[in-house]
Amino acid sequence: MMKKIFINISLLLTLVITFSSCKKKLADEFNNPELSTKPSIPNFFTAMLNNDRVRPAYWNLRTYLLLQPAVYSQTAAFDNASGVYQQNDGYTGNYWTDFYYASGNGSGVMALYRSIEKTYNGLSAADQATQKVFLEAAKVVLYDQTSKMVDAWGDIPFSQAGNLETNSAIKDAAFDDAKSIYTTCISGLDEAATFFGASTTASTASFKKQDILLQGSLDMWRRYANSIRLRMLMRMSFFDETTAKTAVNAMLSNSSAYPLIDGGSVANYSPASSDVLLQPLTTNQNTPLNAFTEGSSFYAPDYMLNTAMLPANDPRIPVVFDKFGKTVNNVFVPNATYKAMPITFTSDQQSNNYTSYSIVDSATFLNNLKLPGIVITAPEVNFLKAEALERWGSSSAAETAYNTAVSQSVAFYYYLNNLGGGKVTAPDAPTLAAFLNNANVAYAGTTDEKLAKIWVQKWVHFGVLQSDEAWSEYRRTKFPQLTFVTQTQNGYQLPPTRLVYPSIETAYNSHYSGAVQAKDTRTTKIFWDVK
Amino acid sequence: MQKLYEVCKRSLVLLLIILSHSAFAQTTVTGTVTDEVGPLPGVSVTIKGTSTGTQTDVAGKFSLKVKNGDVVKFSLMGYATKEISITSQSVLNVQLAQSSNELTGVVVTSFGIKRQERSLGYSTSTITAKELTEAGNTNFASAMYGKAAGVQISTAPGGASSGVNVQIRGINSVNFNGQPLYVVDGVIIRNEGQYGANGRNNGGFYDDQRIRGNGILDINPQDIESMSILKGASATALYGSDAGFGAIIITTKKGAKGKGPTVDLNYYGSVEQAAFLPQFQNVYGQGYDRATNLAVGANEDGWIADSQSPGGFRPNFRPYAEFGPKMEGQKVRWWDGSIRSYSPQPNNYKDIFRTGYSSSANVSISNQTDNYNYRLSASRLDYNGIQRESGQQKNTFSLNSGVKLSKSVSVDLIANYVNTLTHNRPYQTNQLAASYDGFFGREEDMNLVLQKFQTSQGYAWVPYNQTQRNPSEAFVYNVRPNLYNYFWNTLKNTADENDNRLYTSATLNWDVMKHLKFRGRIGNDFTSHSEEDKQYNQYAVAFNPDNSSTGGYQLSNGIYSIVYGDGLLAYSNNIGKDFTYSASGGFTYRTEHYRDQSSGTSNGLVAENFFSLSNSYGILSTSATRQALIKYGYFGLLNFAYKNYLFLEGTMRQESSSTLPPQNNTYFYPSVNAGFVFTDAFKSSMPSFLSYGKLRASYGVVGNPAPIYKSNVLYAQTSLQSINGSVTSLSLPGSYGNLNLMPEKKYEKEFGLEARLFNDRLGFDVTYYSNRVKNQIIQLQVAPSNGGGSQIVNAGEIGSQGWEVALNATPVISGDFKWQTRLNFAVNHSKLYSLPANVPQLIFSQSEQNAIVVSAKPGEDLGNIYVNPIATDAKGNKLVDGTGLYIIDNSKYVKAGNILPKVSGGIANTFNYKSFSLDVLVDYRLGGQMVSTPQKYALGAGMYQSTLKYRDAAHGGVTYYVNTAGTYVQLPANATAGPTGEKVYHDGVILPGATANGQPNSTIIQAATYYFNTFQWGSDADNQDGAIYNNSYVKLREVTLGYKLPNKLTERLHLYNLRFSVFGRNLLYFYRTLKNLDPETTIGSQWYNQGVDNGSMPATRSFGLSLNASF
Repeated sequence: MMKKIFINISLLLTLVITFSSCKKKLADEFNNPELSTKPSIPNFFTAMLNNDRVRPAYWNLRTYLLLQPAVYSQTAAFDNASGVYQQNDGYTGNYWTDFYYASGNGSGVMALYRSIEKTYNGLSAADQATQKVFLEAAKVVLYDQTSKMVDAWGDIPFSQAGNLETNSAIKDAAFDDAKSIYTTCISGLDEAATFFGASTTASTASFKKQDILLQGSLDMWRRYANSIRLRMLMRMSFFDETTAKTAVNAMLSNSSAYPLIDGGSVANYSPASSDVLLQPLTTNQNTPLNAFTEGSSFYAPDYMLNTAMLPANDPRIPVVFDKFGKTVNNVFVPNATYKAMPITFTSDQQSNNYTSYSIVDSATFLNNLKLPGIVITAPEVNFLKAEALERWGSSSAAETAYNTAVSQSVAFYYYLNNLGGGKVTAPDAPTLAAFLNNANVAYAGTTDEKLAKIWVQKWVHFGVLQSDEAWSEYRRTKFPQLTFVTQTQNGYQLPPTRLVYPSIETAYNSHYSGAVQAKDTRTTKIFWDVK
Repeated sequence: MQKLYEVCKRSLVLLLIILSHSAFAQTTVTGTVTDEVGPLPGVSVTIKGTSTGTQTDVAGKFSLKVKNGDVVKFSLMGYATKEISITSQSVLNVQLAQSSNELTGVVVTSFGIKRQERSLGYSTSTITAKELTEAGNTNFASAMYGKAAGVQISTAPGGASSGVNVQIRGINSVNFNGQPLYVVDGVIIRNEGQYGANGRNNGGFYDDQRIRGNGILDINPQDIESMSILKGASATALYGSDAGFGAIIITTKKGAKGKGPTVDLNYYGSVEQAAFLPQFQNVYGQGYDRATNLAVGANEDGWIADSQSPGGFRPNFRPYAEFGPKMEGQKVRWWDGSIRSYSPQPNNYKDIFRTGYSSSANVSISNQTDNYNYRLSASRLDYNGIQRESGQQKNTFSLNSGVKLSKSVSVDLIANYVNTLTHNRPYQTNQLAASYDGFFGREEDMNLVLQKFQTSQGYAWVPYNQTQRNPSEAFVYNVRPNLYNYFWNTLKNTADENDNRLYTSATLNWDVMKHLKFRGRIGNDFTSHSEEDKQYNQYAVAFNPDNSSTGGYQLSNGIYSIVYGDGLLAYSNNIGKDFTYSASGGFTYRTEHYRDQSSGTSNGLVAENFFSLSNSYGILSTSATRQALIKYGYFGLLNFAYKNYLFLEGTMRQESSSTLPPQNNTYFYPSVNAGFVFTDAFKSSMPSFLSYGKLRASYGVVGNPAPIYKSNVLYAQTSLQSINGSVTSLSLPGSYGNLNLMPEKKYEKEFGLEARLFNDRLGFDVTYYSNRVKNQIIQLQVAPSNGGGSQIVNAGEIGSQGWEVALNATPVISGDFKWQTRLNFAVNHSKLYSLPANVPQLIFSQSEQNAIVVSAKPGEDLGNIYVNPIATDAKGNKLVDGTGLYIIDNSKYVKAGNILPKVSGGIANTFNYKSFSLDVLVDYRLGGQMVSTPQKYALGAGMYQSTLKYRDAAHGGVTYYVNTAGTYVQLPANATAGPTGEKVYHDGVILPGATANGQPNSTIIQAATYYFNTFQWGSDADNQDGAIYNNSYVKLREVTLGYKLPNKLTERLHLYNLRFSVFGRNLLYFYRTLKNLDPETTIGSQWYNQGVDNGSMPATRSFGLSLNASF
């Protein structure tokens, strides 16, 4: 009997010992084996750059650009339907979310920036010195993307955002005033540019490898920071002209201290080496085709083709648009001329007649596997220069900048066409000169007329790929003078002047109710929208 | 020595007395034991207080030597035990009554510990095999509707392959799946572990559209012997965290003692049809209000001029709304180019589906001898649901065996193998119901869609703007695409799943010595899952764009494994004759592994419809995930009983879980419960009608760890193939972890009273419970600006309290007729008690740009629905704007209901007359609301009968004309022209309400304008009236009419217990508040998804027959 009890007890003891060794196993099984445990500033930085909200990726084009900014700025065509001016809450919520954390399509620049910041703060002074270049570059990217958020929504959670990364805890961020965010970004970009320009800064092997945007070129980072800063200053120039004028004049009058993304002010410049373009991954397999064709976005937009480009005999037409045509008895018969459907066409007219009108170009846009994400280009910077010079400096210098910008835009679109395998030959010098002298383009007339030319041409340059910028500039300048068909849906008869906050934020952010909510209408204007 | 002598002497005297007594009075008694339908084999017939006894044979006969004064006890699982005192009978014909609940006396509790029901201090429910199988349900869980108090069942539509949710006692977890623990023959089995913390079908519109199943579907109802449901914390305390949401303990059938091996045969066959469909209007076809019709290029009525259409006009097939022309059989040109009648198709929604059928056959062989018992069973289920081209075949083999190795050692071996082939799991109608692109006209003929969703060459339908793909078969007009895509996805594309599951257990029972028993058990549950998805090329590859093709192929494999072990050492003894006790100690250990791997083509297939990974247009996509967890615990149990009427039990458990951060991964909790059979304690002073009465009280604590990996703070590493070469990028997951997470703990107290009266003709069981879950683990949704979508936190306290009442009665026994009734109802109230300071409220679901939220603030009930109301003035009048439409106040929320029911339960009646039996089960849920945005969209689109209101004079439309300023001016109803001959309309409506200046609204608007704008998508709509509906119903769930052939007739065929029955399930609603939706169509495993409809699939009604026999 005793023996049996003894056996039992030893059996139990064995079991207890067996399970004690489980204790360690228990801790080992805690972490998900598919994920990494080590934070790394360079790797966070790459993730931040790899942003499908910057590239013309399917989701960004299909659900954000083509449904909202491109409709409100008419840089793309759209189905003439009753709800077309109503923003899609879910899709705009996706865009919003992708700014704050990676939720599927964007890189989540805010969360990654906060992670970089936090990791950086935990480093030794020596390590901080080698990693500072990542921090500063990350800041430029953050501020660039932040300005797009402000331009769409106005006040946004900014200075307190990303508390999960900063403190591993939930704390709703207050909505910062849009103007103060602009101020923060403008001065922060200046500091970053200064950092990149300092002789003591050196690019490291790690930075060159991880920088999938500019391959570690400190000069390009400096130009990028300055150019975004110029864009933001010009954007707020009707709201606070004094500040803008002072800062912009300081930049333009000292180009060695403030180098810009201006393509060396050469007309036939090289976008690949001069512009800030986010190249697709080499494994990219997706073209923008579905994004354009699932809706009616691939039709040529009326004002752009019929009013801005055709009368000017614009040399960009063959690379931006395709004549299109009909299939008759299995034979494709192209249309005789380039022409866009009138914006006033009803949806029935659109669906019956679209084959008689032009669509966007297939090599440049629809089937282009190599289409880059456009961050900022030389033509835009030269248009900004032209406006600044026209308003605050010499009109002839403005004309030079304007002509450079227009010519560079032509070069830019032929560059995109080439990337997509297009074979259209670039216009020769006489053709380009004739274009610049065409009455619709030529830099002539009153200051207002000249500014209008700058703005219309810049709008053409932005096109559908930069329709977010086109919409912002349309709201700031009220050019081009677009006509919008009034729709029947109550409350959504015309396009908004800003996006309303997505419910994904307003439902949860305790700072929303009250003053922020009171301003949250689709007709509230962004602070710089004063014209 | 003296003492020994005394003992011997006394024993001898006693022996002599016994012997002499027997010698004088022993006789043989014979008889037959029957139930209401016929003889009962295998009934244990014993003389009470002795080990003497026998069993009835196949014909229910027995013979036993007895003497006067003996009490003969008849007992059989599933029947109420009967005792008869022998006076001088020589024949004892006994009828046993089937018992549903308490009457059997034995309940299987945690870890398979069998307990006398009377000794328990907490509430349990048991459901018998008969109740689970008689109506031919393909799984046991959907057979539980209305059968156990406080147990709420929801079966996702789609039939045999769709998951079933079981919710016990309200909400115990605000985020995670909250399903009970399933234990089969002592082993914890997999239910939904493979889906991880996110569960299944919770993702809505962009999520997986196929309706997924869960693990309990694999348990064959035919193999279940009995089932106990453990509800409260005290009942489940030994299982700990695994059973935080209750436990369902299933015991499968064993070999029964009879005349050698017995073969049982069961067959069930049934047909099912889509039922309880929306009430559509069948008057108007596709079109918008007048202004929009004109804006899209049609005329006022919605006709489009078309010279190729017979009358010069054709319908507009593009609108998602139904305010177009009246359908009066006009000959018009259709979207396929043919000339057809413009006529309503009242059944077109139903016609998307087909008549389904289900067939289930089971054969088993079983036997029991003194040394071994076995039961082998094989089942085959063929299921073809209402979704066309979908189906499931399931083969189940199970072995349940026991071997007695020696007097003190026995071994039980149980093995189940389930092979399931699922072809095209049912597809949600989500993209038809929740998207305007899925809306189709009332004139749409599904027969035509069935012909046209693919071309004669087997490619997808060709839209009007892609005519080059097939000029002769291309659609000639623009349509809304989702319907045709739905047919393509469900009828052409295929998804085949093959699951092989083996779950087994081996148990060693060892009577170590007198009073001391040991039981050790190991078990496993292993599943290999594979899925092959084929997407066909939508058009010939010649029409491919430059960089992609269509079609696709995907292969997925999963290996899911649970290994389980437990050991239990129990010592029991008594102190004196009144006091017994037992002490047990044990451990339990479990590992779970889930591995999934999936590879697929990208950007289409290069060669047409060649399904192989080698045929990918782009770079293959592939993914793999591994999940593993370990849980173990030590537990102890102490029982005391006094005079078999006062019982006390205490338990404790220390458990460890790898899913919690290491510093918090071990925790401890106790429970205590007591039962007091007061009718035995105060026998003399009890009224004679009260045969049994017991009071119960219990208190328990259950800890609960985090779901797997959710509290990790880790980074996703990817190698990007960039222009700089392969570069490492590190990103953050959207749901942020928490390394300080602690287990949540549920504290529950429970009191109960049960009684049987009037010779057991009436019985009831009343339970009150109240619980608090502290440090609730919540995947807290946060504003994205926090830098993440959510964080897992211990946030606040929730709690539920409620009543459960079960009543059973035998109102009539008269000759051959007997009526038994069982009724249960449960009232539950779940509340949020507190939240941390930085969390103002919990939001479970939000829709329509936040205009509808299901949320809770501290002190509020869980499941409250809040909505932006129509704006009102100071007097409470609804405000109407200048266009004649209501103004919505988006700055304010009003409470519009609660998604949880107030009361739920069921009423089951059994009527027996001779060999006939009729079972009728009604279940109900009363109170509570449902959020259904698809119904709002359909209202706005004029789909329902209810939207005929105001559309003409007969439906209350106001008569008016449009003056030159565009204003609508009212006319007398009989007017035929305006003052200057203007056209007269009869579809006006003046919304009751006030304008901004306080005057009553007098603006006339067109009815279509009213519906179209008032119930449009988004927050600028009347969401309160459009999307929130009362959800109460009383449903006739199951009716079974059975006839058992007399054995005399069948004996010659060597058949016994031949029973034939017809049954119907989900027959009708006696009452329901939802008119255009079935209350049970919601899917998703999260509790709040049960109150939010997103358009899943129609519910069904089925009829069938069954045949049972034994050889």
